[in-house]
Amino acid sequence: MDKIKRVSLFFRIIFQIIFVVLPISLVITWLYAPDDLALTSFIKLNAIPASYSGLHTYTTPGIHTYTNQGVLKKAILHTLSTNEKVLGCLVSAIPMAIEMCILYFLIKLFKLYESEEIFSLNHVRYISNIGYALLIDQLIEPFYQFIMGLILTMHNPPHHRYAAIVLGQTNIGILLTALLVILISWIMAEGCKLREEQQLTI
Amino acid sequence: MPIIVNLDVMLAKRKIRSKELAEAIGITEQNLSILKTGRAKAIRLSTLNAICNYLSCQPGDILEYKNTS
Repeated sequence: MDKIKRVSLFFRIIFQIIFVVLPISLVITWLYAPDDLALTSFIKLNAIPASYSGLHTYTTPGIHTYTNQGVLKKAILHTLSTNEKVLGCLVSAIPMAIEMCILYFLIKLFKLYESEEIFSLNHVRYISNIGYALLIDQLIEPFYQFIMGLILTMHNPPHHRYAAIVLGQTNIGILLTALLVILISWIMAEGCKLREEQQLTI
Repeated sequence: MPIIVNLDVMLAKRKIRSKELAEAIGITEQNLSILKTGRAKAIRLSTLNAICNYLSCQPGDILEYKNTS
């Protein structure tokens, strides 16, 4: 039991640190970072169609991004204005809000483990919430990519703007994981009911 | 639930304390309290047997059905 408490405490602290650092880093990265790879790695623009593969020939300062093949390309062929950065930051805040919800539920979950509450309906509720949050996150991800692509390449030269709704293999993988988490939470809920019945059988 | 547990009535009639009964039938006072307050979802026949044996009564003296509809 002590081991569970120790490990739970360790993970809770890590999640709490990420919970605080994540939104701060989002704002700092968007508003203050120079147009370099730091921003690109943060906004997850990985869905550039192959037809845009010639974009690297431009020398205009802009943000680099990786194509699906993992090749470094330039996708944003202009310097981002403050308005674009603010808009990008706001749009990025949507998936981040969901990720923070997941972190919040994880913190609550590990707090329960710390208080030696191992198997209860509270756990089931948090695990189920994590599953639904993951599901929503993956469902909005293609639209997020679409809007982000639109915002960042809106002021590119003609024929170099892109907006695509792409459902990748990773999305489907996480989607299935989310469904599995929800299913497991249902099974756990039934288990909790059985346990409660067992406890109230005298 | 329309099943009412009259264990406290029987305990009063027999002038036996909860603690004594719990010890005699081998359950915790906490579980006996769950039974007395009607929060129990089920009662084992072995527990019922032990209670009836110790209180010298019938299951009907402890459990009562009242139609609430």
